[in-house]
Amino acid sequence: MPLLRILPTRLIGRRELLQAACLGVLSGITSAEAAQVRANSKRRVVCVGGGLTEIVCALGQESSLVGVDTTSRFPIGVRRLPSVGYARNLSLEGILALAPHNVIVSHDAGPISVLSRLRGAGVAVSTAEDGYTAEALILRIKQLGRILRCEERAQLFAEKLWREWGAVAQRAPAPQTNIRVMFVLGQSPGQFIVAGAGTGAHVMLQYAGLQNAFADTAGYRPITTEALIAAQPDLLVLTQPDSMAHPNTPSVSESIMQIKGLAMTPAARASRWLVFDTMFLLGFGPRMPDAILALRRASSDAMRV
Amino acid sequence: MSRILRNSAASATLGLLIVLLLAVLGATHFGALVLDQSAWLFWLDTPDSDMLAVSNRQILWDIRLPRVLFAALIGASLGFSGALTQALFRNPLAEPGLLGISSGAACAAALSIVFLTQSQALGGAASHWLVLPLIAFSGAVLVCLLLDGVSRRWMAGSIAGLLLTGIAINALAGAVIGLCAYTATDSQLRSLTFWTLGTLSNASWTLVTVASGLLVGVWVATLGLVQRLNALLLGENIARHVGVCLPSLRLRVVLIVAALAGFAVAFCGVIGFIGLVAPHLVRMTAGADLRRVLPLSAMGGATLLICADTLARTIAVPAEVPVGIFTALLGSSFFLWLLVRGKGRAT
Repeated sequence: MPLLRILPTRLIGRRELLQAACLGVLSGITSAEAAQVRANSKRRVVCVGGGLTEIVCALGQESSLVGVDTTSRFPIGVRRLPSVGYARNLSLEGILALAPHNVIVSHDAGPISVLSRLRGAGVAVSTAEDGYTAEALILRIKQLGRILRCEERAQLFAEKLWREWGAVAQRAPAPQTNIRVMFVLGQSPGQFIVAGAGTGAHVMLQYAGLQNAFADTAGYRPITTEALIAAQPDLLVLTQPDSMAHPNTPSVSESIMQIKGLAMTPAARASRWLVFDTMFLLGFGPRMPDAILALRRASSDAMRV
Repeated sequence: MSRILRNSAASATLGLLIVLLLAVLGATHFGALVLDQSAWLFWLDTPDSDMLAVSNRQILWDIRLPRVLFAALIGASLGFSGALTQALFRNPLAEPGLLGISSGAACAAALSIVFLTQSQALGGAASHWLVLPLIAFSGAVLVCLLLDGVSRRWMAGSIAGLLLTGIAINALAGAVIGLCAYTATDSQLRSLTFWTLGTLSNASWTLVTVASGLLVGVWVATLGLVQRLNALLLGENIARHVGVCLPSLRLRVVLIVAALAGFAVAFCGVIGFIGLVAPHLVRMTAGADLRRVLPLSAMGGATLLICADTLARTIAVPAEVPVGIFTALLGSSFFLWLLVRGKGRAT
């Protein structure tokens, strides 16, 4: 009789009980259901941000996730969770309906009014530290460990990741290579956007010892055909949502060849391009050292051809 | 004859009022959370599952009800201001969007998102949630004053001049917004999308109070203007002969429209189509007399936005879909249906 054990925590008058029963029938939720939910109460977490979701899972808390945003696509298991949508357009009632204890958001999540009213409704909303460096990643992991009450595990994981990072950093070629890379974000016909300085993509290129061919522009920018030819990239790096590192799929090479002016660059003449999964390369989660290694290895392989 | 007219108007008002009430009730019923009906008894703190951080009562009274009422009030403001602009310009295409008022507000918001947050000194102050709406609102008022100044000084009394000025301001605002989007950083760009998509997620009791106060104030301010606007509907010259002072009428109406549209854009972003469609729907069914058109298009706009917002909230639970998609979808399909039906009857 779990129902009876839970209900008397509050003294309920007979009339109120009757009223609640009548209204409960009307609304379709029975108190037995509610009691069941109460009985197996466990930490429930909504995570907004692909990299953050990866950290939560790496800390062994995947089972407590009850909702993620559209950028959370890894590990595969989180894809079946309810999606709270685009990080900038969160829904107050939608998130409350998932009954989370914690909502972990990246710094660009919003609207701000929704976040502050989530706090007002008694949900612990925490904004994760941002930053594209390994140090910031370690800080993020420790912060999430505090939030999810698994500091020890977070400490161990952070140390492990730091060792991995040390290995990656040591393997960096002492003088940076002079491979000029064009990082293309989103390739719609007619317009394509490249990553300039101050972007996550720029940081990843630097860590991999590559030169960003558009380091003198800031942010993600659409560029002209002439600027593309002037930049003379040796190598193209593209990202695609939901694809692991497998270059030269037919659709990608077709869309690349549609970029005007590309044929006049060294990259296209030697057909050197790499395709990575967007969140793998730009998630800045636990896979960051792997992503840097993969980018470095793939680019040196491509340049050797 | 006049009694029959009055009766049909009364029945149309009553019918729309009932539809509006049903829409409010329906909208409060649907949402991401399944609500216990006992939540309506606000004096009873119902025992809820510990799973949710909030009680049923809080969800209904603090989250869902203000949102539905806010949708109603914003919809009413948009419908009302749309009807006023269409009457002022005697142009069925006119709406606050066409005059450049909405885009002026959005333009001010975009400028403040991109440039105010960049400066160190003002960055802290700019993060307050009230700053952006106030800037957007002042953008709307600024556009209105500019419109009025231009049309009074250089194109005195000409409605076409005012309309053309509005179109020019629209283009200018569009250019500035485009420039902002181009220079914006990634995260600023995402805040900018709010102003172009429109959302009602800011709803709160404070805003509901302010919006209803505004609507009541505007209603009182328009009461004296309705008959003059009715005269204007017959033509500018006729209105002048009847004794209407056109410049003062125009200034007042433009300021009222600025207040309504500026407020709506400031707190919800640009929600299109309602200001255009609601007055049309009303005129097609209840005639062109502004005494009827104004309140009815306010109610029609409210009903339309409530329905659209309910769809936006519930169709992709737990995520939220931009409400503009549904205002256009609902409004245009209903509009087309009315057009086809009217055509069938005429032939």
